[in-house]
Amino acid sequence: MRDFKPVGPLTKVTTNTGDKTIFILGAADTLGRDEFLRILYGARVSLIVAMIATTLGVGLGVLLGVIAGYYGGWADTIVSRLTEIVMAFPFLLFAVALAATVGERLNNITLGGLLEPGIISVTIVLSVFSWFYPARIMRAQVLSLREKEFVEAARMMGASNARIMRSHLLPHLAGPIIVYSTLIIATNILGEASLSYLGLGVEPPTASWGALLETASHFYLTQPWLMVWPGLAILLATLAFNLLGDGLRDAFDPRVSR
Amino acid sequence: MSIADREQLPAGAGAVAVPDVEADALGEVKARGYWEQVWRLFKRDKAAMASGVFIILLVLVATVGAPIAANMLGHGPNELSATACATSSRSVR
Repeated sequence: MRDFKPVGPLTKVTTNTGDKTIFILGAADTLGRDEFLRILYGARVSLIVAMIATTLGVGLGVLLGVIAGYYGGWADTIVSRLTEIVMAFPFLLFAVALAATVGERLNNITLGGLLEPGIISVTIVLSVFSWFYPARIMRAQVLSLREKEFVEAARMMGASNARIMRSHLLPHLAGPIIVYSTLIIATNILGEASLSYLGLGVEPPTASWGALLETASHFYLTQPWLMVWPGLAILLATLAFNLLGDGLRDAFDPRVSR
Repeated sequence: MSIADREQLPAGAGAVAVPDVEADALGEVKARGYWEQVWRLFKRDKAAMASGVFIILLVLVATVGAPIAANMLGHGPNELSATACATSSRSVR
């Protein structure tokens, strides 16, 4: 039996429009798409998904965490129980359920060509599962901050609760917010790649590192390097964001590292 | 103390690299802001700085680089090409 396999690196090919061109890293699949360009466009998809999911997740987490820590009482109870429920909720089950039901309709949303098609549902899944750690951290920080003298002073001056939270508490939270956002972006890049690998994330034909890795696994005998490039891209991007987050944490809180 | 005063230090004091802290103690003491302190500590971390540069490059590649590469190569990432496949005798599953 004879099978088709994608061509190797540095192959000169003719596209269907008749143009002669070169595939620097070879073809990504048997449909003859360019691996090199798909890696580049996959970087765009990975970064957009990770950054939107992190912004939504951390924004929600900070909002809920600050409200829970500042008001205490029933607000704290509701947010804390909600956090525990989402933490206990199975991540993969949610991803499968969303992809199987409304995923296709969500993936048609591109916000007028601003986003690549097929990335909304994975963004939603990742943001739903990235708000609880920031929420818990912010709640703990605010619990200790709200007893400080400057908060009491602000309250005595007649500042409203919203003003105290915005102008007196948030600046103290800027450090942890930046550090955890960086670390969560790394997790989300990995999460997007894993979901796309499983076929639950970014939908083809949109390029994504996880989907490229999945396609490459079909040709591991003839074109093993197809696995190397997306794998290397995911590894380096995640490593860079993790190292950046660690460096930022040391810079924001020097006592921890010494 | 001004810069002129600093130049009248004993000979040899200027030959060695004077650390930041001493230079500040000699001149007018300027308070470092919180963000300045953070940036100073962050700059010391070589791995974090390299990661930051790498991430900026990655963002540039994703936003500007990919369309430029597609333009130079003359085909897009989703374009199909029938000649980009070869037949292999080995069965691959």
